[in-house]
Amino acid sequence: MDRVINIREIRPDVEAKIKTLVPLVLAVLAALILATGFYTVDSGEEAVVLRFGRHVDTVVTSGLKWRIPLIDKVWKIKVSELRRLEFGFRTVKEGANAQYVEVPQESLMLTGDENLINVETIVQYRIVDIEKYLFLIDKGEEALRAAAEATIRRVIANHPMDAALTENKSGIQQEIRDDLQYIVDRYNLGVMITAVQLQDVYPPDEVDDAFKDVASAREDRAAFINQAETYANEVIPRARGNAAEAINKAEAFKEQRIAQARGDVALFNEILAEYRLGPEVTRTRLYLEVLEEILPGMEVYILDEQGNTIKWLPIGGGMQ
Amino acid sequence: MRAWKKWLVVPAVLVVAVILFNLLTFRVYVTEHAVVTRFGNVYKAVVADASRVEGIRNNPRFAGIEIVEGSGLFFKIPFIDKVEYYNCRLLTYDVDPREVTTRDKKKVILDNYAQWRIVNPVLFRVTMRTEAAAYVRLEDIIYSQLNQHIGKIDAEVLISDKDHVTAMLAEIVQAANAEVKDYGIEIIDVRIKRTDLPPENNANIFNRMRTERERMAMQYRSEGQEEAQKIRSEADRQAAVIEAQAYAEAERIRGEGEAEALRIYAQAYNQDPEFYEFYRTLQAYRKALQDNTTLVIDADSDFAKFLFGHR
Repeated sequence: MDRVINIREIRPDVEAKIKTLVPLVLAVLAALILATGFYTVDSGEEAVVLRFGRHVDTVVTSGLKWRIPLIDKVWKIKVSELRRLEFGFRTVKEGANAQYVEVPQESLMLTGDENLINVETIVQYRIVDIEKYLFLIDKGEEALRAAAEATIRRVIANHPMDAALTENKSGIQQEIRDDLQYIVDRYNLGVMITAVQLQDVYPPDEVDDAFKDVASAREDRAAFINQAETYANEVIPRARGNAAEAINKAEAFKEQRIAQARGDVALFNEILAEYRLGPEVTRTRLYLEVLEEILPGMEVYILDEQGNTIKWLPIGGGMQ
Repeated sequence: MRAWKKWLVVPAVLVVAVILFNLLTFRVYVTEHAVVTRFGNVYKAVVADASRVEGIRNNPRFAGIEIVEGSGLFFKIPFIDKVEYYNCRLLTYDVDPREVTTRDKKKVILDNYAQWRIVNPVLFRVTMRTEAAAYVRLEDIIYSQLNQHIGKIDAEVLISDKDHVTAMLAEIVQAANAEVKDYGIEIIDVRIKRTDLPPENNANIFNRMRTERERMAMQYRSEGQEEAQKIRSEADRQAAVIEAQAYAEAERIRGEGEAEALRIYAQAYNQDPEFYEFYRTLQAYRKALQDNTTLVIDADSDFAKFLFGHR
């Protein structure tokens, strides 16, 4: 406790230490500063290097790079990334069960035939020229969004509603893409529009039921036609059946009639042949055969010369 | 003894150097213009495109100005020179929606935007100074131009004639550029984001759309019925034809049978017509004179003769 330390006494010792430490510290500091110049460019990224604000280099290859610390600024952009803009809706949750909200004030638009429809669109784009995108436009995405919205509405307004709803979706998509690319090129955005998709085109709620009814009317039309065809498929075969039946019946009649005639004639021919052998005898015999056959069942009155009738009692009957 | 202290000079010199460097220089980014003023007077401009600024020298007020194209590091006199920066990139100005009236007196809500840039920061500085001030001016100019042009066309053209509207907007850009030339501004593009009819019109549009769809639905259903009727009647016709043809065919066949039968009979009976008559008469008797018939005959008749055995 009573030991007094004289600073001066240890000074040479400390001095020696400081003498070696100071350059070391400075060297380490300088090294640290130089080390902050390292930066990485990921694959799919590109970067521009600005020295005192002046563009000196564009890095298009990925890897570890170095720039002058404190002086050079590096602006990086993911050029391979497919970016998208949504119009008329917003994705709230991405993934398997994605959720969307509709933005009706954005989606509701006039068509060429002055109808109103909701059009939900996705514009996909990629930054292809990082220098243009960073140096020539102030807020690239905002500019693109405004241009895209104008183009979508412009093109939809140029087509009748049914074209957008059903008939010509792909044509409209292509037209929007081309028009938008043209504008974007004029603005020197350095952006390529890779795709424009009409995600969902639907009529406003106020008239939705009328549109649905048109769809069901179309179904009805098909149903009516199907029913009629069913009827035709029933009626025509039945008629063919009837026809076949009628013809078969006629054929049967014909055969029957001919067979009958042949039969009748055969009997007659037999009798005729017999008759020719002895005409008088056969004649009488035939006559008597008939009388024999018919008289027993009859009441016969004979009219005499005076006009009186005499009841003739059948012999056969009496005998029976 | 003081040997180590000379090392401390290094950071000190560096700090002083950095301070001095910052005081004596300014950096201009590739994305901006810079205007340097000395005692309130512009004496130097660093611009993106010098050719757009050269003309300014004709103005005696800016005759001595130094114009530098590019970006990077520049010198200035500390505390005396002031540097102001202006964006040199393309700027998007989204104008608020406004109602305009077309030639056919229809009210249309227009939402448009403009792409513009500051090309001459020196002029811009003295006339506008800030982007916000420029917006107000741009809006006035563009809106009045739009109003003028749209007043000459019908709503239908404005809404659906792309080519006409594109040409009209190109004219507007040209006319507006003439007006903003003195502000150091260039308008690149004016575009209509949306043309909507006022909300009051929606009810009418919906009503028309509804009746149009009802008409279509009716047409589809009627067409269906028409088609169905055609198919049904065609089927009926075919069926009738099939059956009629079959009837004709059947009658022909019957006739053939009948004819054939007659031919057979005739052939046979013609062998002895007299005997046939006798034979046939007997058959007729057999058929006609069945049981319980009362027969009255003349005593002189053949019949009676036979009956009484040739009396």
